[in-house]
Amino acid sequence: MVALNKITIRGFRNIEKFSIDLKDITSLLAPNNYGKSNAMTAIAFGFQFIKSLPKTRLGMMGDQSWISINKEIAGKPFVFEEEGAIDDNTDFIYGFSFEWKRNRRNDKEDLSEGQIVSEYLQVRSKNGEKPKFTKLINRTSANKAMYVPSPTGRCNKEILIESSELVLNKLYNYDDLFYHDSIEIIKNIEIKWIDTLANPESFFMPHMLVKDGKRQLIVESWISKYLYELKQNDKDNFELLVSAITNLVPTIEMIDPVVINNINLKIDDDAPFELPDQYDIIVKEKNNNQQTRFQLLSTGSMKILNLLAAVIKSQKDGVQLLLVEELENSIHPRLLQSLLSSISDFLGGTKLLFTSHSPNLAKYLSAPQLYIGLPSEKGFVDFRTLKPSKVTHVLKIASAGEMSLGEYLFDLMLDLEYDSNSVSELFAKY
Amino acid sequence: MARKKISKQINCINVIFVEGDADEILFNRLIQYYRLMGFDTNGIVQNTHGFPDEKNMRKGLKKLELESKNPVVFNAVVCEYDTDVFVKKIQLEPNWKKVEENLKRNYSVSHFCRIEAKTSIEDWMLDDIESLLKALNLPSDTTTKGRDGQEKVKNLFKKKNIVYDRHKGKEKIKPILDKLDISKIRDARKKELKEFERLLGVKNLDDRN
Repeated sequence: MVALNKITIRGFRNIEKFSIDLKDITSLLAPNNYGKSNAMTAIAFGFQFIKSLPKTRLGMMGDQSWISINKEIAGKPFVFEEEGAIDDNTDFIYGFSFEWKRNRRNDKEDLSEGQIVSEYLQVRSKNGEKPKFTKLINRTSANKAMYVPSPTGRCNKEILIESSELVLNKLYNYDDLFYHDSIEIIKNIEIKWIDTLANPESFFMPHMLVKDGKRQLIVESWISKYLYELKQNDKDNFELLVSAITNLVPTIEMIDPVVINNINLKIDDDAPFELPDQYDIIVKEKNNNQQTRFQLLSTGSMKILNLLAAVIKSQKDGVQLLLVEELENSIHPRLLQSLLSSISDFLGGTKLLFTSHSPNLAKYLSAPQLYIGLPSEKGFVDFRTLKPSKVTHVLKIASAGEMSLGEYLFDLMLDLEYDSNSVSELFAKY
Repeated sequence: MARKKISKQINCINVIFVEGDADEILFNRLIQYYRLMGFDTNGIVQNTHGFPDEKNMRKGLKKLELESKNPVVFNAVVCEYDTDVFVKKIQLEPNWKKVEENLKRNYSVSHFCRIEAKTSIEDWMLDDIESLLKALNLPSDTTTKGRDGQEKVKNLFKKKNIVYDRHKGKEKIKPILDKLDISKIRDARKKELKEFERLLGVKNLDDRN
């Protein structure tokens, strides 16, 4: 499975530069308004950009929600770079940048649309004696790009490209290209956002979708149906999920996803469609005299089930990166360690990046998994890890102040002077 | 009028601080085993649900003091933890000498000792792999896979579709851990348990076997 190891973003809202090395689980830890959500959104935006059609990309390059209005960043291009491994033997670096659309009445420059201005793909085989990256794609302006056409060729074959097209997507159509598989893998990297902030009942409720201007009732909730299918098709993972849930919510004795068939509905022979089956999750709690529905349990229980089921689904679907905002939301601090442990068990090759306001989570992670939000005088997003050589120092200070590591880090984040010596002393540079 | 003399009994107890459910189960079994072997051993196992640092131990001792009807003195305070905790998480190894001094000064603690589970309590479980496999209904020739003891135990439980959660899974892991031969684990770990047994008055146990 392809592995995503590092992502770098520039020029997005208040992100001047954000770079993150992805471990199995990585966290962005910060108080409110330190840019956690912007960093997550920027990552999702970058991958969405690759997958989008040129027309959609034009819209994305002009979307005022994401164009920076920070004095220092405004006018700078959006830059995206991902690093990873295509397989056990091949590393890759892929990146692109685009100029945001300008929309000023007195603009004289012809920049009515955003345009992609650079793009590159480099790969490296780990097998050689001195593994070196080889450039396969090199785009230097909106309409000028080169690629390597054959195993013995160099990156000098020109390719016609529009300013909203990505060379990666164009080469995907070249079936015979000797690195077509790599292109396909990079193009199809999947990231998924798990919604932990929504009302958890919505995960269990039938969804209303708007279609052709008319409301159409889709009678299913993803989680009930998914769990039912998991129980039918992957008993091992289903039982492990139940085991994890009952560890975390010990009052639950039994979880049983069920299908409620509509076979008894009267329907004419020539009816064009029939209502789809409905699904529900039945649960039995120890002290109750009867079974009930999972969605009648506590908010925290529903969120735990949603999170773990989504992790299993993502792992099975081959998702490379999961984004979760405020993992601790509605979950008791003492459960967090076990929740992280269960998530880790289910992740497989999928990686998880989550944000948190919780000082409690810091103690369950290692230093490289912990990105700490730092105040910035210029209003930039600034997440960094502790320098390995300073971890013991920070722990000693926290311990002397009778604080947990998390409590100390939050004090530090809130009290640090902008660009003080402590920042450069304690935290690693990008 | 003669004043009525109120004599309060002083509770002299041993406290063992452990970091998870699995440790709690195994140490309670260990104390039971000592009793079974004829030692008049008391020991309260306190689960700190995480590394038992000085702050956690102080909280635990204070709680025991407040909950006791009679005055309490602590004969022995024991701190049990995995040695890999300092590698896997951001955890500072305390200055144990200072911890000992502080506990003795502030909480009527007579003795303090540490039990280092190398490298984790799951390695102790694997000392009786035969019983563990039997308890999990796994073939006796099942091979253990994993980078360390914890991963190996997790993977064994996983074969039976059970999530092994050392910190929050007492109800599921207790029936399994109850089937381990605690004497076998004790024998394999007697070096690590030497000081602990001495403080609990468990002497010459090997002679009784």
